[in-house]
Amino acid sequence: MDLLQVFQSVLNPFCLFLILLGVVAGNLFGAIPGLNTPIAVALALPFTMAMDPVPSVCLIMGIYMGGVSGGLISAILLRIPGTAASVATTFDGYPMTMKGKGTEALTLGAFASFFGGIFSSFMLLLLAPPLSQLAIGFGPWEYFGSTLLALSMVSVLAKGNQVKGYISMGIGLLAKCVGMSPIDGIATRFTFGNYQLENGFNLIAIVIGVFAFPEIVNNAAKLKTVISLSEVKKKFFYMLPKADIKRHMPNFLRSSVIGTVIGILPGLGGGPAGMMAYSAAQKFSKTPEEFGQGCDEGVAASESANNATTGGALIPMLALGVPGDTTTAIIIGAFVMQGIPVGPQLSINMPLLFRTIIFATFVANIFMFIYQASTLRFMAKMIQVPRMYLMPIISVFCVTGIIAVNNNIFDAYCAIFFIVLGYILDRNDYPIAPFILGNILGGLIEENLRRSIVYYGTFSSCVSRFSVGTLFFFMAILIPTVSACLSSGRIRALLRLKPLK
Amino acid sequence: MGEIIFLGILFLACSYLFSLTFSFQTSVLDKSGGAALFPQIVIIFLLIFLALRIILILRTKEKKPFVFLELFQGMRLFFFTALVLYIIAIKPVGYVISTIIYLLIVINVFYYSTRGNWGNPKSILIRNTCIFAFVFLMNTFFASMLKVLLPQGFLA
Repeated sequence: MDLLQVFQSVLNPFCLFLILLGVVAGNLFGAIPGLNTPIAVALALPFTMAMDPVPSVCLIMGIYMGGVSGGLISAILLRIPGTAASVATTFDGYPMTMKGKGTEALTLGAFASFFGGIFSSFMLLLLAPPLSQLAIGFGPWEYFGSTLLALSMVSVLAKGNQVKGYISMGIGLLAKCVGMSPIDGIATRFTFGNYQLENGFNLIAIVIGVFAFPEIVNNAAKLKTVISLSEVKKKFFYMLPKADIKRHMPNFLRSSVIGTVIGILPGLGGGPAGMMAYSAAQKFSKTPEEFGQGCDEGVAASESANNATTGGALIPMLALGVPGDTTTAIIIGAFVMQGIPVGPQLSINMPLLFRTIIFATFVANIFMFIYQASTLRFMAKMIQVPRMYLMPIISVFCVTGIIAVNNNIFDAYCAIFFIVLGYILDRNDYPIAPFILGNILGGLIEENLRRSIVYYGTFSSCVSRFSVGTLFFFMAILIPTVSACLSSGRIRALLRLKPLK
Repeated sequence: MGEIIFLGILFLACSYLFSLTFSFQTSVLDKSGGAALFPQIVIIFLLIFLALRIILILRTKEKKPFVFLELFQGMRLFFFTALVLYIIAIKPVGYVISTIIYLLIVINVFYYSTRGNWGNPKSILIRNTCIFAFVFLMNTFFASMLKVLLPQGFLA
């Protein structure tokens, strides 16, 4: 009966339409260089507020699945990764196009994305409920530990300089401190007398201001960049031949496992997953020398892995309430706005909604594949929309979306500040992911820390408890410390490790 | 040098905010450390890493240019200024009018910047008509379908 209810809630015309709409929009954002899935999800947040939980989940899952996969189009045809997840796809995808095999590369990429997404959705179905049962014993101290660990790992594993990652994270945490304090709700912190800041900064304004606008503004200087399109054979539905499916199956499976595992670990996402799967595929290949010169195994590995991170990232999100990547961090924000309690309580108190979310990911993956396979050649042409039209229109969408959240123009004023901040951080290689996650998780960290102190008496009482929270707390301190030490040239020499490049 | 200035500004701002934390109200019943606890922890954390980064820059003598001023040059300056003025103008002028003006200016200037001319009369007409249609659709979608109240400005 439960299963029937799940099917009923998703398999109705409105929800199916929203999944398809999400897949199309996500694919578009993933395909256009400079835009990405977190931006697409952030833009959809104001729309989801007007919907019931199930339709909004369908829309968001569609965007998520479509967005991660959308980057393969520009990566293969233009050598421009639409998203960070598609960087490894360019290594062999574009050379395949140069050899006249652009259609084959797109077809393979679309199927590989579908396989990776479905595989990780199965893992989500299998792993999320047991993780939920385990997490039911989580109290405020355990939540504090897990969110602190997530934040710590994001900053350690974020691309670029670790110190920059921590600075970025610190700024995000500080931005979250603005407004009324949690627990007591007495103090209005850093509002400077402005009552509009008492609820803090709007998350949408921050995400769009820091993520979307800097790239849009930066593209204003690249209006004359001409994008030339390669030839794509005309067909109705581009399906991978059975022989190729059989040949690539070990690669698909291996890459999907890598992607799912990396997706579970907070902070990594599709980019590292694609790279690691690509390297693994090269090691296991019978023709490793062909990698980088148009080897289809490279495309299959990268695309399977980056789509497999979606289900993997949803596992900690649904089971523990901890985001697996930046997009799931924003999705948590969307779920919170809908009143969906993300974490172990979701599968226990709202099992129907929990299964609905997982089923929506299955359907989204199927729709994503059907959509991509049937519109490959059209999608390629849409990338050619001139930036002189695209950037202003997207900026209007962004501003409208920010205002629409709270019907408050002040949020748009705040976005101006975050545009400048985001531009400076992004252009100077300060990773943005720790900033966003710091802002999203900062409230949870503070609230649970203070609750723990209230419950156990003192902070030292919390730390001395024999619990998962204490383990996570020490891991959150040890992992960055060890990582920093291993980055040090002197210590690497002492341990006889190879120097870092 | 630019990055050191940026980090220095952040450092000073954090120091000022830290001084403000001592004036936060605290309930006598609150045993959790008060409203100032977490901000103070975050600011100290940030100050440490800001100082560390400044020291690293000075020690390694990094010569990578700090990107900031390019935001205020060329088309980036134009687009950024237009965007800021658009956001400021939405409330007093109204969403529809400010968006139309913004898109008319930005898209046409971008067109000129890309092509070197304003285009023939037909393309000008089509381009600007599409802008009006787009804004109308946006307003209809948000106001009628999503029931979002967008500022009407002096038309209210």
